[in-house]
Amino acid sequence: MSAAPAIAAAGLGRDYGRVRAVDAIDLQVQPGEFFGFLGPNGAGKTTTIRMLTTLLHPSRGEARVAGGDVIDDSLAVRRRIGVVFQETTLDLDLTAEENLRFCTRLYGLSRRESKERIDEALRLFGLTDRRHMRVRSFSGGMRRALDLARGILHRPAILFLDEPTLGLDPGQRRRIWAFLQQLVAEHETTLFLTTHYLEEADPCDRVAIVDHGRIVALGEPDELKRNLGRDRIDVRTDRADDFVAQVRELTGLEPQRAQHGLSLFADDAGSVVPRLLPLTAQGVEIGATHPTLEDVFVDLTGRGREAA
Amino acid sequence: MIGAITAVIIRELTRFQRQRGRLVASFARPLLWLVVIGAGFEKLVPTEGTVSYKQFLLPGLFGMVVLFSTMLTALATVHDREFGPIRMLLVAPLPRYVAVIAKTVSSAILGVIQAVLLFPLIWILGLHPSFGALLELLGAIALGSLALGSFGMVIASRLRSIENFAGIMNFLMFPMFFLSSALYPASLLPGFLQPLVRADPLTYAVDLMRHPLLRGLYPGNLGTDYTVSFDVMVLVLFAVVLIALASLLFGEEEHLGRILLVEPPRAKGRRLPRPRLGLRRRDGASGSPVPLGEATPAD
Repeated sequence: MSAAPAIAAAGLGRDYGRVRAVDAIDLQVQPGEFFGFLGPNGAGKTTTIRMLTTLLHPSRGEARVAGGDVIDDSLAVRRRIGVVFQETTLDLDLTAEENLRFCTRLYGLSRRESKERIDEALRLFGLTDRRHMRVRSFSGGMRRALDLARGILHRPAILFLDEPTLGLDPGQRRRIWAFLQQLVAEHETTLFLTTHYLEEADPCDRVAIVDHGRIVALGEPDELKRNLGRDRIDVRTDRADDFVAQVRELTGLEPQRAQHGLSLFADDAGSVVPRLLPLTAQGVEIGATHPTLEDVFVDLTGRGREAA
Repeated sequence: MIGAITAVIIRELTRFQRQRGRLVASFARPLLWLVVIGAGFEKLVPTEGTVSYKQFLLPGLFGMVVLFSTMLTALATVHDREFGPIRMLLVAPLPRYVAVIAKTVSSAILGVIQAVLLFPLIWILGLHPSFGALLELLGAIALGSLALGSFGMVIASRLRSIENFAGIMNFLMFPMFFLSSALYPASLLPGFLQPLVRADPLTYAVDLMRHPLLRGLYPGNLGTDYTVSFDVMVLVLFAVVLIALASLLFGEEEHLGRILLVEPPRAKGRRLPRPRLGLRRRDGASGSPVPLGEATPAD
């Protein structure tokens, strides 16, 4: 954590007329970090990404990205970042290769470099045999893969991804994720991504949860889950009534009814589960779940939203 | 910068060559005007010189092709900005004006190509321009395309969505066509329309195209309105000022932000299904005592 941060934002905010899209974002992302930016729709994720990628002028605050100020050095910043938008930026009437070549020309890559990188990118995303096919004929997953390939052709130091797996099926999502993790590992690319598939944020080094244009939680996924505390221990039985007293006696905790039997809440399931093991002799199943990021997310944003 | 401009031009040309419908339309429209309007007017308009009305109309049709081509390309820019490739340009390390110039130049090139495809009409209508005059015509078309292309970019930079297309067609393209010198010498229009006629770049573009085609003929009442050097000067001025203005307007992202974020003007049916937050527990225990799933985030 000694090098200058890849992304540093202070009080970054943006209004549209009277609508306050982003209130004030403070964050630092270290080089090589895999950073997740989570929040419900309308929380200000996309606006934040647009400010960090110099596409949108902030109404207040400041941000430095890849060593440059997003307003004063926007060209330098754009040279060192890649952006993959929520919607595709591909030209559907062009082939995969033509789309990528359009991009390498924009970044002024030489003909040879361009060819090498395009070959590599197509291979990496399994699109080599579709090279000369028009993008219109591609499935959503292939388009997204090609979009990602486009985003990394110029080897950016930081890659911004806005909902990279939106609308993809689970298999395609897994492939995209595997690739992103590989990218971090091999090229030490800093990744900044937004998502609202919360389980996807688990591989992130750190996660910020944003709501109403502010960061409401920031930390490692495990840390965030720990702060929520409360593992859940399930006692699975269809004779719940018979076990309430026993469970209470063995653990000292108050069990709650659930469809599968009984549930207990504890800070650390590991210390509770062994005490319940004697019950397994009577045909009871014991299970435990850690809170997921989804639980953290609901805890921080969801309930407040009901009133909104 | 040259690389970027080349990239945009190659892209536009590739697209153009694949959109057969556009090519057909760019042929059909002027031919319709020539055959129907040209024939009708020819009966009505008394000619005093050796120039037939159709011969007079021809540069106006080149102007029409250029006008429609550049405006359609400009409108495609609006679509591009919402959905696609122009955003590659916006995140590339290029100043905004490069994106604007690249778009303007490629739009002008498409205009020139479509006008050149109609060149056989020159001889069909009995005109015999010299090679030099043909080059001059080509230059006039190119300059006119550039001026109209940059005008289109200014319009595009202020447009929120492609859905305004019909409005643009009715309130901009047709008036620009009728208020120009395309159908009649501009000087014939009444005085109260003259300010509009003179503010219309198409007036000068058509006038400049008419010079080489009618040179050597005695046009009588069907002649040119301005001198070549005046036309050139005005068109260059239009192009420079409008490109500068478009760069300024595209550079200002406020508008872009509004389009992309707050009021997404999606065409119906193109909207991606908005995925719900995955607020189900992964263990799938339906009788979970923890209240879950009520949280529906507001859009």
